[in-house]
Amino acid sequence: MSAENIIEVRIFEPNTSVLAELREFVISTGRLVGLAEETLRNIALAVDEAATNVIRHVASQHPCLIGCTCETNSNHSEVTYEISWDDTKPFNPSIPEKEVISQRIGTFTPGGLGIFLMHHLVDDIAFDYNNGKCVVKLIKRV
Amino acid sequence: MATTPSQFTAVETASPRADLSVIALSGQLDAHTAPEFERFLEQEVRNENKHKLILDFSALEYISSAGLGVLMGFIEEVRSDGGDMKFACVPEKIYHVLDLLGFPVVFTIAPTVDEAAVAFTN
Repeated sequence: MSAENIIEVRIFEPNTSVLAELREFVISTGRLVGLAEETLRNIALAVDEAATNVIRHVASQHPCLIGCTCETNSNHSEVTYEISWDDTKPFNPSIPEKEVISQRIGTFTPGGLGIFLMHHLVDDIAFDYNNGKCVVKLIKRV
Repeated sequence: MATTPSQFTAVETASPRADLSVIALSGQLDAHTAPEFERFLEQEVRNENKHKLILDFSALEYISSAGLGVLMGFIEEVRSDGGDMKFACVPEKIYHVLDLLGFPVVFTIAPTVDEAAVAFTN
């Protein structure tokens, strides 16, 4: 995928109080590129899960801001939301299988729900780490 | 332009039966508001010993894994005390998230509060 057209970039404080604003950012930029309402809701939840993970597990260890970029490829067939933050190590979590998640719900241990949701709410996820910056790309084909 | 942080409320409402507690959820249940929900359930379950809960989702606009994690954190406790937690009036957009994660296999999800109450007797 060659995401070329940046629609908008916004920087967020690493605090759960920004999650509503982050979701609103996704919905407003997604409408600009013509995403359907159900798709907007799914991507907003996926971005929320990614940012929540950063707020809980990274920002609690060291200060960092969270960047969110909405971009499309040249023919607007893909929309990518890129969540980025400064970190000392890459972020590349394993994605639990559906059966594993079902078993966790049955035994009431919630670990992995957010990563699982991210994976199932968009078409592709890519993780990148370069020069101390972690990036999660949530890709939706239109 | 800053948006107001997520707003969420959980309040106990009229119950069709004396042994059941109906809790109406409204607003957005995410990582910002999940701690408030957790405190509410602690009060209900641990301090007031209410273990038969019906959660009315009709006014809930949004839920993320943080909110679902709170539910999972209490279900074992209420069931071990002979109770349960049943869901009612779940909007389609919320059901979609529950279904993705397999919650309908573990939790009773009823169309109405009254039907959730009947499920407690079955």
